[in-house]
Amino acid sequence: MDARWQTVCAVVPGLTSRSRAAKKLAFGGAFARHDGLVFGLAEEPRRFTREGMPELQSNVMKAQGWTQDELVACVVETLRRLLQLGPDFTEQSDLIAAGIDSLAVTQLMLAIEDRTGIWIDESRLTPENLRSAVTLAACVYEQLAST
Amino acid sequence: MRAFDREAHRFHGAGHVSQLVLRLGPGFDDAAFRALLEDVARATPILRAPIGRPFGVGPPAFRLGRAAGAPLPCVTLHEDDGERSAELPPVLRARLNARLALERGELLRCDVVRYAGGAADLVLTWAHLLLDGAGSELFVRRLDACYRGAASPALGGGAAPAPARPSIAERGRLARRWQAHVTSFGAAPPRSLGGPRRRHAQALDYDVQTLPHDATAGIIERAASVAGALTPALFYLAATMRAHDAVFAARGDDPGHYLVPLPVNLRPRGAQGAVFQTNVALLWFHVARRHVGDLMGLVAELARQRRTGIRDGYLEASTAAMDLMRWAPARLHTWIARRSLGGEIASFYFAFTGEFLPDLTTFCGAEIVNGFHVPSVMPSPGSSVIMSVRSGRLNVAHIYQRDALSADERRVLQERLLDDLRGAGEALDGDAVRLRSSA
Repeated sequence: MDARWQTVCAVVPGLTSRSRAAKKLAFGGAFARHDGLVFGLAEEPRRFTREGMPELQSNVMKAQGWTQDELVACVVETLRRLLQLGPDFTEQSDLIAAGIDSLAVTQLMLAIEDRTGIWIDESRLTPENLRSAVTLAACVYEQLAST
Repeated sequence: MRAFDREAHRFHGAGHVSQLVLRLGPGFDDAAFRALLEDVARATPILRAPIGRPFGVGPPAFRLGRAAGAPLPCVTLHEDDGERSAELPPVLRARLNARLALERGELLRCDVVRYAGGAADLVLTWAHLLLDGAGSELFVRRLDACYRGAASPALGGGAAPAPARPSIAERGRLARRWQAHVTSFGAAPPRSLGGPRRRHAQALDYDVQTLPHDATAGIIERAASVAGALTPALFYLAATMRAHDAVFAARGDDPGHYLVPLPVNLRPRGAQGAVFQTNVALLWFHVARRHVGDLMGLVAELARQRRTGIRDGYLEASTAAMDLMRWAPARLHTWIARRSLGGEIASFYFAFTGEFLPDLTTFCGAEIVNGFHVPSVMPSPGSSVIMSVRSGRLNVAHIYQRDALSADERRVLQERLLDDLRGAGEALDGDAVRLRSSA
């Protein structure tokens, strides 16, 4: 199997024949359901609308009430304020090149703690996690999910 | 800064100065460097502006209007017939133990030691009021850019733009908060290896250990995994605290608590290139000795205190307090600090400045073989450690007052420090270099 494919699940409000067709489309026909969750093989988690159409949104799962996309937006917004960055700073921008330093990263973690109630220990902030707002948010999400 | 300079002068005949040392390969053009520095100093008044209180009142300031009448920074050439060795030239120690006449605009002086074979050491000794550690590296970069014709000798925009300051009432509120914070340390006052201040001549020496690439890579990885990729300084500080504790233990002494300031670079966003004046604030760590026994636990405690300090706004509070204190007589600063803290201001000084001049491989035509910072430390606390990384090798400089630590105690401190950095039991391979400013 291609390494980028993984078992993911999607929350669905109900399994109608229409949504069943949509899920076949999304998961290539291979899926199963258990306790209201639909499991299949996909590159990323999927959300299904009430009408059963697949909604290509990457962060359907919530941790402590936060989706990964919401965390990315929180990181971008906070860093724009802390580092006085303009709109050219995006979720894919390099954080080190944008000027994040030891003080700014702690201020960022404090801002995230204010919003989520979870402190992310600095030792989790590896160079890989600090590559962009997306990777940093993924690190935060992981800790939120495991708490 | 000025208060420390005054105190160092009054009690120890020295000053609050720091050094940046560049160990250069053959090819350094000292005549071109002298001419370059003179051009830059003529075009950049702050480099020789007398510092004083205009009309005797108000906070001290760089008197830029009087800079033209002040002498140009002095460049002294010293010829050494021998090869460069592990023994650092005596002039380094002499400059560190002398005072620059700030009131006459003597803020910077340079010494070039030329060895047989063409290698040279360039030593910049500067008043801490003119530059901080990061600023001194920026200054060297700008000098080199001028040498290559890539920049104008007028280092305009070299000072950070004045940040938006809170109102006087707000600054007063912040200063009172800071005062209460510092006073709280007095409940468990710090002890230093140098002991309380006493009046005697300053006698600073220092040792610099340059670690091999492999050992440095391991230490950097260890620091990042323990303390975080962007906050490795906490790991280095923890190791330094344990090293000082080892000396106290060897003396059969219990200091009770450690109190250590950590400089935090506060260059405003968009002004990272601010060269001149001091753009740092101090974050203080107050640690009970019971935390020192376990390195990982100590790093966690330091991280907790750092987080609390930043969250509670002590960086802003200390900046406001220092700003207001500039109006007071200089000696009042240290008097208040010592009185609040039971006689001693800190257990030791520490700084980690990261990569030393990254990407700058040559200076004025010569290869930079190595480079490091050497800040002075007064007889109390008497011991200071500063670390930086040059070309993948960690430089650990231990600066000490001669009477504060015996040779055996220095050995205990430095060995314990390296053990903790590397992880005990790992041997250091052959190409480590140890430099000494005294025999």
